[in-house]
This record gives sequence, C-alpha cells and structure tokens, in this order.
Amino acid sequence: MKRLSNHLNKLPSSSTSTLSHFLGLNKKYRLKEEALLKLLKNSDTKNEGFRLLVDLYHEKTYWMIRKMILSHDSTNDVLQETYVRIFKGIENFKEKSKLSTWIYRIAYNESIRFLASESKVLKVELDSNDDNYSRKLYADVYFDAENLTLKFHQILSELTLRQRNIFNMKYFDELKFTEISKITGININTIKSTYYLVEKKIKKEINESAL
Amino acid sequence: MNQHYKKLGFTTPKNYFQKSKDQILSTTINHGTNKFEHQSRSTLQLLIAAVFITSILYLNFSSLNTEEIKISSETPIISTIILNEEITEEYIIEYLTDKIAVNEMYIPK
Repeated sequence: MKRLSNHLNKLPSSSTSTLSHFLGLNKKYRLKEEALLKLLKNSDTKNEGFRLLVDLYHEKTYWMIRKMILSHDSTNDVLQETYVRIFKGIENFKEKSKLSTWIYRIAYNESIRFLASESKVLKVELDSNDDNYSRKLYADVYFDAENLTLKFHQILSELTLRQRNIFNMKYFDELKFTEISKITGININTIKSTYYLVEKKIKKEINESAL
Repeated sequence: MNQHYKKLGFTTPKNYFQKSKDQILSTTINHGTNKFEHQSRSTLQLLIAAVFITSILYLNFSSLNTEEIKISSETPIISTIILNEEITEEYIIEYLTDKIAVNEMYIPK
C-alpha cells in the first residue's frame, strides 16, 4: 500500500487524475455488476436484469466468438446458445469471478463445443493448427479485408488455436491475463508466455512484410 | 470497445446487433413465459384426461358389479373347486353322460 502511494506521488498530476478516474470507474463497474446480479437472482426482476445483461455484454461476446469461429452465421448460432445457457444458469453463478468473466467463459466453451462438432471430433485439439482458417474466412460473405489485414490473418492462421485464442483475448478483447486464465482454464504463466511469444512473432512478420 | 475488429475485416449485416438482441430475448425471456403457459396448459389437459379415464373406469366397474355371474356348481371344474374333489376321467365321463342323456332322453308327457 505504501509502495503504491509512493508510486502515485511520483506520477504527474494528469496521470493520477486518470488513475483515480479509472479506479472510480472500476468501483462504479463493480456496483453496477452487484446491482445487476441482484436483479438477475430475484425471480421477479430476472427478465429485466437479463435485458440489461444482454445490452451490456452482447456485442463484446459476439466479437469474442467471431474471432474463434470466423463465420458470421455460425457465430450468431453460438451466441444465441451462449445466452440461452446464461439465462438458464444465472442462478448457479457462484460469484467467484466477475460476471463478465463467467459470461465469456460460457461463450468460450460454446465456441470450443461448436468447433468440435464442426470438425466431428469429441474434443478440439487446442495445440494444433486450423487448416481451414483461410477457407472459412474467405467463404464468409461478411468478411472484407485489405492487404495488411490479410497478412495479419495469414499470421493468425499459422498459430495454434490456443495461441490464437490467447492473443485475441488479450489484444482485441483487452482482457486481463487473470481473466483469460479463468475463461480458458489455462495457467496464467502459460498465458503470459504464449501471448508475448505470439506478439513478438506477429510484430516480426508484419515488419518483414512491410520491408 | 476496441475498434480493431474493423481492421480485421469482419463485418456484420445491417442492424445485426439489434436484431440479434431481440432474437436472444425472444428465445429466453418470452420462451420462458411461453413455457410456463405451456406447462399450465399441459397440467389442465392432464387433469381433464385423468377425470375422463376415472369416469370411464368407474362406469365400467360399476356395470361389471351389477352383472350377475351365474356359475353352475355342477360343472366338473367348479365342483372340484367347491368340493375340493379331484378331476378324474371317470368324473368327467359321468358328468357328460348325464348331461347328454338328459338332453337326448325323450320323456313323453
């Protein structure tokens, strides 16, 4: 605590105001989540709470699934299934993690289940490459990318599913390492090392292609 | 929200998020309400069916009870049950002869 206050004192005033603003937002967010959970766990207000929950997380959940599934139509199916599961299981939410983490975990599991059914296997091999990545991407009518983006996708397609999921969650969804660990069930140190390795690889390849 | 998605080239149909939200709410909240209505309707149907079946059974059994069951105690099987006798060939032959003889015998008035 002392170290933190020393650190804060050393920061310029603009940074501390940004930080306190962030802390305020975080507190506000926690209060919002608490209020939302109260609504969701009361049978009289569950529907109202669920409407708010969908408003808050629906779009972000879509993008998280989309980056795993790639096709828009399949993402839509998985998204629907995810929210049906959330609606049915909200009473069982033990509040051991943030509500958003719990939601993304359900979305992640649904996506993995979908990928397994798509490749007709019981369990998806997270450490193998997706040979159909490019085919799925180009087959989707809701995909329109420029050259650099295509290069980016090419690099992503060379990653294993585990590496890609970790990179996407951190870089695009801006989740914390601890949250990613809770969502995927992968050890936090593995997540950190995987992310930095992938980030380095992407930077290197993008720079090489720019030359 | 992170705007990198646009750079990834992913797009969605027009007004997709609003439509998707409505779809989710209709399959969860409204489905839940419909399910409750459906359940109460099923319970009513089951109740009506139960009353119908009970009334049919009651009517059937009551008509069965009023019917008189006439059993001749002279038939070999019944008499063996009543009198605790064993069915022997001799007994059956005797019974049948009596019966045939009575039926065939012409008794002038």
